[in-house]
Amino acid sequence: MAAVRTAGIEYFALNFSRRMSHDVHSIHFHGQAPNERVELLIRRHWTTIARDTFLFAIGLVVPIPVYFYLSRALEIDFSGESAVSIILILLAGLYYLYVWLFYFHQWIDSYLDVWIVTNKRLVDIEQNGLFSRRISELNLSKIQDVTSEVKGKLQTFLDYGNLLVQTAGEQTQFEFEGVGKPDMVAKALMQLHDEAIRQEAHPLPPSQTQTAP
Amino acid sequence: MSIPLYVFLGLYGVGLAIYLVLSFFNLYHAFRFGIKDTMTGLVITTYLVVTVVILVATSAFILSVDWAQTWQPFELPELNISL
Repeated sequence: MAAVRTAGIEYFALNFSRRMSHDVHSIHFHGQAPNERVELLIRRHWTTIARDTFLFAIGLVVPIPVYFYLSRALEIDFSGESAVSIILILLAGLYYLYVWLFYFHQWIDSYLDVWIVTNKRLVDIEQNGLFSRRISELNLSKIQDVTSEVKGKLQTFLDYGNLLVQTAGEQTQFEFEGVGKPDMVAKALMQLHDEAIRQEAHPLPPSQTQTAP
Repeated sequence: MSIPLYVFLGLYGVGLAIYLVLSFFNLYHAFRFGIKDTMTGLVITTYLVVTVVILVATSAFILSVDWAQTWQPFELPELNISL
């Protein structure tokens, strides 16, 4: 179990929040049971937000050539005294606000997709836009198979891919795309599954049950 | 034809109101559904700080403008008709 916890903490330290790493056991989520302990917190790889980051950077830069064109070719004065310059400055203020909002929204959409693996279950939280959210839960003992996929040059070099979990539950397959170090996560999941099976076969007495702080 | 500049200030206000509503929804989701970790707090704080900076800069500009002035987008040619 210590190896699993180490793997979990090491994984958390290596994911998107690598510089913000801290003990995963201190993480609490809505719906967590009193005797439930977070072992893994899996987020999407940073490449999933890379495209939006690139678009955001372009959005920041686009007004600059527009400014030079308007001020030099069309000789528009941007001192804020002429009516045209006042209108353009207002437009620029709104433009940068919305570009910033767009990036924040995309980050939330990506960052709120998370797999929380506790000592008892796997919680799959998928955010689709702002007003659509799907939460699926799976008892760890019902995991039958875990497959990690790494396809293509980019995924190979950056070591990220997809995780597929086959289950014996109502939902037969859980899939998480864009996971960093998927082979390590798959191994950690199977270890947690084995531990959950052992605990179901030999439950601990209530006095030895570890409770969440 | 001349358009008073406060019309554009009103349009800016509408755009700003929409932005604030959308920001509220995004922040609500981040607080409500986000895992309470350092990264989430940092991103939310950064978002609010940058928003405030842009709004303060724009507000300082708005306060310095005489909104009663008008804008003439185009001038109609004078017609000289002699009968």
